[in-house]
Amino acid sequence: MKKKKRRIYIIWFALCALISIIFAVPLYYTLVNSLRSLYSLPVSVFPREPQWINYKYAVTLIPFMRYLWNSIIVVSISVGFGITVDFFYGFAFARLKVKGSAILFMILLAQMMIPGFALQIPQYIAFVNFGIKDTYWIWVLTGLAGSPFIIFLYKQYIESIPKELEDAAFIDGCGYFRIIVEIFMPMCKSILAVGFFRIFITEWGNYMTPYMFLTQKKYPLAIALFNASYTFPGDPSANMEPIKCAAALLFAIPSIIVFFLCQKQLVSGITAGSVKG
Amino acid sequence: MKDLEIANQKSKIKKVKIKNSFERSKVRAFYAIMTPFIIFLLLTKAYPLVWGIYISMTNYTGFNLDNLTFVGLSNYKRVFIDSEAIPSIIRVIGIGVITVPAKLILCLFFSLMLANVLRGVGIFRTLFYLPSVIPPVAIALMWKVIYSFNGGLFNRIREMFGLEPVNWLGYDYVKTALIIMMLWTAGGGVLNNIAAIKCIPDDLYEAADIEGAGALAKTFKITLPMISNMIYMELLTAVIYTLQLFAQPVLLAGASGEGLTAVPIRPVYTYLVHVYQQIFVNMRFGYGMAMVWVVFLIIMLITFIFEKTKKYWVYTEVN
Repeated sequence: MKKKKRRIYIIWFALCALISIIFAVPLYYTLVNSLRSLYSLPVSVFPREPQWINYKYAVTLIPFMRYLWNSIIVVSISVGFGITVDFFYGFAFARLKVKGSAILFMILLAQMMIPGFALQIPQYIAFVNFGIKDTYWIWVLTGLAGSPFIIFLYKQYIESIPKELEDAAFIDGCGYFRIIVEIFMPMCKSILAVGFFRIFITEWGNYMTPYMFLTQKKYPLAIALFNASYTFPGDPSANMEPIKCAAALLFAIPSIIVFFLCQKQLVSGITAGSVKG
Repeated sequence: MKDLEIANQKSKIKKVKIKNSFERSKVRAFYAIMTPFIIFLLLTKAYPLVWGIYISMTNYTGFNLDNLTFVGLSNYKRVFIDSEAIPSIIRVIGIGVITVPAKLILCLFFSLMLANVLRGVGIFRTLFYLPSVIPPVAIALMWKVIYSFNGGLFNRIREMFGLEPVNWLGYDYVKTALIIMMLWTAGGGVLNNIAAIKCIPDDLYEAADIEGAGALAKTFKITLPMISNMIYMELLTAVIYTLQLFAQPVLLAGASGEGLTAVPIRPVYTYLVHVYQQIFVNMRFGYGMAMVWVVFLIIMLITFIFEKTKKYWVYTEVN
């Protein structure tokens, strides 16, 4: 019996390892090719003389730092609202069930049905009319309106917390602002981490909104990298593939780091949220 | 005796008062929090949506706001006459019938493999999930190199089997290339699925053990039915997502200098690419919006059909 179990484990492990390798190959391939010489064909093994200078080219041949800064602005606005304002909304939907809250909640759910596209194009026209095209105000306004998915996520989680808690705090003379900030937020760290993760990943990679609303100078990395044509001054014939690989990896690194930071909470947060629902 | 009654009544009144003040402050807090929600909802969502429905019935082209002509439903009629619109929807469905089931089945298979806590499971969960956190633009840049004609990974593999290199981003292979790229992120649902599998009560499996059920029977008779609601949601989301397929074809098969207005070659020229072309290249806002609402209606219809047939294939617990 034990021997059989062991055999199953080995088969399982081998299969998982094989799939992992298949999944990892594109990343590995990008890495080795970001290090190959500009004048060679694509390689599939680690180059003998890795050209780390490709990474320097990736950030100096285009105004990489400016795009990075733009990305940081956009992501900070979205994440900032997404883990504060959305949490307040989520709390209100979960705990403050008063007249009218049911209707608002229906509106929230209805928002999830609308395809992103159907909203963004009229938004584009509306924001042009507001005169705020090509500014970051768009992220502030949409951030304040909240993301329905994130609000829903918080609401589900908050509902699983026992109710006596805020009643006691309320009788002690605690206002709702303090109840939310001082009691609920620390208790909901894991779901806030999930919210942070989701918003970061979406906004860091969001090319659509900036492409519609901003101009070249204000582009974040997501769209700038796609739009950028790397060329060598003095040698336009050089093959820029390695530099593009380097740029793609540099761009992906923050997402990967955030994933590793939030990974633990991702599993526990999702599980806790779904026990209820 | 009377004193006691009075005292009792007083405390009752006090309790009611506290309760009332509790209710009142609840209402106050709710509307204090929700005021910005309502204002910005109206400003950034409701207003643009109503506006979007209106312009879909006008000849708006980006400049003629002062003399808009109301054209009724003629923009909608044009969607069905347009020689590109309907073929592009059929094209999207052609891609979707492969990617949606393939992604779903792969993801389920991965989740079943990774649901049990065995040594090393954490690393595998990470590796399976990792591709789906990488930004789409980075993915497209990476895969363009992987598909490159001269010595790209896929042509290397073909060479290993003694086949001629092909142009993966050319007319004949670009659809396959797109599908493979989309399948790379198939692991994106594993964490949700694992969470759902973990919520299945253990006693079901214990009972199955007593009955002497094998692993396969347990998977098909317990695990899959118990997470069928999750699968249902994932399937519906995947269908909706695929109908709106836009970025991947443009990023993978469009010229890189032209941003999102680049035109991908025919086999991956999707419906929303066509919409985007109408609006941002041809400036036909009215027509473009009508096209958006047509796909929205299709999505509503599919959702409706899904909801109506749900009871036949999704297991839900009766409370």
